Amino acid sequence: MPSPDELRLLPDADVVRLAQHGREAAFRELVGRYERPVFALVYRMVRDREVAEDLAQDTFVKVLNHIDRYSPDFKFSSWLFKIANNVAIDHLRRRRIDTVSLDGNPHATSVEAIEASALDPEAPQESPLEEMEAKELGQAIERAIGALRPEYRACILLRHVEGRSYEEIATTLDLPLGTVKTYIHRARQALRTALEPLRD
Amino acid sequence: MPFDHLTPDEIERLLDGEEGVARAPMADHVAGCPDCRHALADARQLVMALESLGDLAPSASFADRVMAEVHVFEPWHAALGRTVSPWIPTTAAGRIAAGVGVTVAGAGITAGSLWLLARADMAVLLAGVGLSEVRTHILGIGHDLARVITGPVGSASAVSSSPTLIGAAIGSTVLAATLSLLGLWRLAERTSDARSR
Repeated sequence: MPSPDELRLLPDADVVRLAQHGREAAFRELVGRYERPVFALVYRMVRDREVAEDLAQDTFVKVLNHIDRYSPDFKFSSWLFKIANNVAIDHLRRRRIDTVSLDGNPHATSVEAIEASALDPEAPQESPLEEMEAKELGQAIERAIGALRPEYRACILLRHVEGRSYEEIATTLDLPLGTVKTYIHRARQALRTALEPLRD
Repeated sequence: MPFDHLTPDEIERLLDGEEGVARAPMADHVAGCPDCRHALADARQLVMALESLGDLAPSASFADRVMAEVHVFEPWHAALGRTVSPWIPTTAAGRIAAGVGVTVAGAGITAGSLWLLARADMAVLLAGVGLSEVRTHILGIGHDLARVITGPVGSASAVSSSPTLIGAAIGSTVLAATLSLLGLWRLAERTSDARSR
């Protein structure tokens, strides 16, 4: 059994293999490696720290209790983020009390109208003026991310916060590559629009 | 200018560094268009801001709470490997010697099993003879005990009884005697306690 220092240097696939052989230290190493990025992704999706901790915990428990199902053909991180995203999306769906489609305004009849509804109606409706008062670009960006549609939010977070490639995001979210690019482009445009007043 | 201003999608594609036939004309346009150059710079600034967002961490006890719900299970083959691995020699010569030893032992066990099987009929016969002798002895002991305890009548009953019945009778007698002795011992203890007060 490798020492803790040696475990830290092993690639994910080797640590997972040790976990599949029942080594508790390997389980802890996986949690240690990914607790921050998983929590960050889930928190920025659901915008509630306590809920994010519970959902992140559920993610790890689901993944680690089924570690025998992991296939080394895929990256462990992709599988983990996929579960995390699904858990967050399920929570957001349960939280919704109306029937607004995640695909945008159901009454929208044109591409432009659909894209105009890229903002999540259930998200906090803070005005740009309130953002300006905050005078913190980071806070403003966090709020703007929180106002995105969940699918756009997941893509933009995985791309620019977690640094995943387009191909990996497509695998993680089970989306076509073209859709991932479209979502990220739309998300960036929506964020620039939301942050427009800060530039003045 | 051969180009109108770049569309938002074109700005995004340029930002992502997508290669393609239209890339060079778009890049040339940006070089000559302050508005599009400004839009591309804004897009880059947003990406940099996104990539600089603060690190978020769960509470300090997060890992412990996760592990409390995780079932760490060691498969049987992993447990077997862990048990056997200290016995496996580390050198090549040692492993060869161990392999030869295991092969010889395995061959010996196989030969012995075949020899026993070949003589199974003799073994069954001998076992049968042995059991018959034991049965005869048990009956004899039961007969003698019955004659001593119960006299000629009891002895005749024992002779006509099955070994099982005789065994049960002997066992009951032994049990009764044991319980009686225990009872007498407890009585003696209480008597001693009463005297010591």
